[in-house]
Amino acid sequence: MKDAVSGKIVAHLQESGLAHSLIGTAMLGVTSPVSLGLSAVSQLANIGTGIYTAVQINQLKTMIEGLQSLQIATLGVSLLGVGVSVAGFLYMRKRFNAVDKRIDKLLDTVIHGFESQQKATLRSHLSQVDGIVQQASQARTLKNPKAEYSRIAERMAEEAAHFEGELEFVLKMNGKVNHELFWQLAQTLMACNSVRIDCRIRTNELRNALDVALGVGESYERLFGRLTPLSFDGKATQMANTITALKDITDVAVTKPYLIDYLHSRRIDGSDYVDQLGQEKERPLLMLPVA
Amino acid sequence: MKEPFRRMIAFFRCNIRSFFKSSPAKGISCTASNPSGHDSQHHDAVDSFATEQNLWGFTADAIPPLPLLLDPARLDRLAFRRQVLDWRDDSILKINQCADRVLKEFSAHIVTMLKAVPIWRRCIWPKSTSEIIFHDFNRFVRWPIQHEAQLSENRIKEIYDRRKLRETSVRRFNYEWADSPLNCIEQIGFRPSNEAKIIVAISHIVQGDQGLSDNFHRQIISICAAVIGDRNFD
Repeated sequence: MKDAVSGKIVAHLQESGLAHSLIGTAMLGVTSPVSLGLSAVSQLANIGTGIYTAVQINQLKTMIEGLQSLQIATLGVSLLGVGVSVAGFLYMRKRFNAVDKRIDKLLDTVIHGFESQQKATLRSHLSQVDGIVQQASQARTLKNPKAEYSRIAERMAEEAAHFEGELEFVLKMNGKVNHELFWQLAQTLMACNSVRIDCRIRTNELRNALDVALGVGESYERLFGRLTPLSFDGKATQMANTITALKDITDVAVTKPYLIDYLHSRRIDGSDYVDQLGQEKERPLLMLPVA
Repeated sequence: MKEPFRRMIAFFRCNIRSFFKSSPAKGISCTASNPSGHDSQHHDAVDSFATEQNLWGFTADAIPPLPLLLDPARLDRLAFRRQVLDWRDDSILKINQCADRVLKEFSAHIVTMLKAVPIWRRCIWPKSTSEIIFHDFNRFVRWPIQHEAQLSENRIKEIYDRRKLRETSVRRFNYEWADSPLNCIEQIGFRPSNEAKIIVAISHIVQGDQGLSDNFHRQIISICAAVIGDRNFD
């Protein structure tokens, strides 16, 4: 958040575990940003008050309406945000499994241009990512989870490189980009990158987390920045939602290093920070004042 | 005797975590639950370790922060980039919608005109389609799309003005057409039997690759790329 007059950063906006839980529940059935928008707000209202209070849901609704942006809702479909694990790696895995199934179906029925060898490789990488996310969800109970988080971060870096390459390939295909395949691959890439950064924060390797986050931001700028509503094979007005989501995702990615820099500068322990985000039960959105 | 005793009391009251300066991260107390529930006497005792408290309830001992590694001023550039990208997508969408709308209207107009072609013109020596529709094409299609492009040009100018950036020719559209776009329908006779051919050809002129709408889309993308990389902003 910037001061309108001085232009200086006055606070970092951070979604808490509560926001992730609420958004995650609402967005689990949303397969792409095409169905986002105002519907995101109504979906939030429909998730019921069984676990969370109506006040909290209203807070989140107001937050989305107030921001007049899909950015918050985008978190739900993109697996983004600092400390993605506050939503729980289990939620991430659920979300990822949905992506996996969609891609599997797409490879079998829709997508041309992918050789069978390439399809097999893609399937194999999807299984690996699924396995790594599962390991991440189990790492907490280890005696030395930090070593495991470090290993997971390394493996996710390899997987992210693979899926970035796949996305490049899809973007270079002749004609309009297949929206469905692009979005599912993009989600996988984002999941890999988010877990990478998350694990580095959890191991308190904030300098490294910052470098990784900078690289991820640059890669999203390069990959997504060139896409317009007419780049995809769908209706331009619907594709505009996807483009907005991609721009929001890029914004989150390119500003994430600043938040990590702040944590580093204030000597805040990454692991404590992520744990604390997860424990927040009252406020979906938090402000960390800079001054 | 009083002074050493007071110092001893102060020693026992102070925050034990502050002894571990070599592990500053542990000096952060993540007590989001209820900051107001802290013992006020304890706070008095640790005055020398002045604490700051944010909206969340994090409390951090007053260890001087490390210098920031990133330049926060770069965020301004990111915000500008987003503004320009929004302009690009909004402009492309609006021109595309405008082209869709005028194409529909013009196609209906062509059908009406074809119905009005005299019988003798239908059978012998029909006039060239490009000749017949030239003025109406400009009025129904070309000018409305150009007007939309003009609005888009104004919007990027506003972004420039708001940021007090130097006037630059990089954000201007080229409204000229290299060749007459209607050349490709010159050979099609303007008669009802050619209706489908004419409509398809006009659709291509408006919405096709290198067509009127595509011409502006390409320009918008190139302006966007130039503006984002514009050195004026640095």
